[in-house]
Amino acid sequence: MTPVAVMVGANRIVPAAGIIHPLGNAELSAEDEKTLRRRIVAKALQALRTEVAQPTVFGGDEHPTAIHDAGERAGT
Amino acid sequence: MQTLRVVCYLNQFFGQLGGEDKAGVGPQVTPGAVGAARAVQQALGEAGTVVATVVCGDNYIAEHPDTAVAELLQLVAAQRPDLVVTGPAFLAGRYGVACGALCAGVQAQLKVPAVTGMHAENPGVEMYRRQVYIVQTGPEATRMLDEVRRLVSLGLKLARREPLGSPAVEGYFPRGLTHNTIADHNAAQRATAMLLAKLAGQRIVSEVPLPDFPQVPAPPPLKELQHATIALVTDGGFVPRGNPDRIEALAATRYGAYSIQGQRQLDPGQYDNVHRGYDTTYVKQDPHRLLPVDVARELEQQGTIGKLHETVYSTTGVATTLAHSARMGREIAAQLRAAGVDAVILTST
Repeated sequence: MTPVAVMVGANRIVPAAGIIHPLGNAELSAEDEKTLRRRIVAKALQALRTEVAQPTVFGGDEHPTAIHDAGERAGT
Repeated sequence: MQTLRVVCYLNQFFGQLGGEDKAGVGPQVTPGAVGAARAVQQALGEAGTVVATVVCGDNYIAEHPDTAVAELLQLVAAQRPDLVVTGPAFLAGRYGVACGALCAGVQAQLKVPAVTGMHAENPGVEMYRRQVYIVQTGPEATRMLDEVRRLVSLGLKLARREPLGSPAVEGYFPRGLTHNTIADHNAAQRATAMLLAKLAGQRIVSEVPLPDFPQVPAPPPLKELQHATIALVTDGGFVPRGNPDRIEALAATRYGAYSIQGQRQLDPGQYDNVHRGYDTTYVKQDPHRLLPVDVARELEQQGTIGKLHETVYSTTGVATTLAHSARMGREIAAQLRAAGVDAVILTST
């Protein structure tokens, strides 16, 4: 969904762990999920402290999203 | 072809009664073509006769919104027109609104075709273009006869119930209507042709107009986090059990504001999800996968952030119109601002 965010002009964009659980991952243990969530939120806070001039994606950590894409329907 | 009976509507200026000093003049009718209506007669030629010109002051209509149009419709109806031509109003706002309102009334109540014209920035365009055929004109009456010709040309087609071309061809503002037509080539052929043209560096015209997203300047970054109030928002369809605010499952027009005051985390039993655009199983199991209240609370307790705002906001972001999205965003932002929130983490699905 990050390309959509860029297109519509959101300025600070943090890629999350997939559409069906942006701030989690059902495949992980509760503990690991929480760690993942902390990491993404930390990245969001970092983005809020960063000067941007245009839509900027604060990537870097690749989350395993491919296997979960089957859960989304078209049209978001 | 029979000669059509045409009634024109003009304001006090184009009806030659006077300028702003006469803007309070009430509805009146004169037989034949008066003032700018003579341009309409000229454009009509043999095809029609301007049997009467109805004139009214711009201020009169603006100050009597409920009754003025009804009075004008009576005057118009008495002339038994086959077509009503109002304006053109160019950039004159009160006039453009009056022209649009009268055309809408003529169509709806007298069941007579009507046409008007004005400049793209006339407020009458946004108010009436979906109901009324509004021909696009320049800002002033410099090329009045040319523009009146286009108005009359469209008006004649409407009066004769002839098929109309697209807005681009006929020169009127798109009315937001979709018509099915049969194309010579199927979509795959047209798409391929468009792609080949694009690769060859040719100019292509998209069949579907692409929405224009305005550039929103990025707010300056937070200087620090320890004193910052952070709010959580989502478009993932998060709602309390029972969806008390009746947030729609798609094409949402409503959002909800929900208190998390004193809560260290979200109890899944208290919440639900209405979003129809993705599989909500996982976010229903654990709403923190949408609104990271647990983690944000930790950060607040650790002093990493100053405060987690006590209200979370939610709506459904599938098939939500740009207009409603922007409106809801503005309304939520205003509430957040009033509450002293410094920044938002918006989780989007």
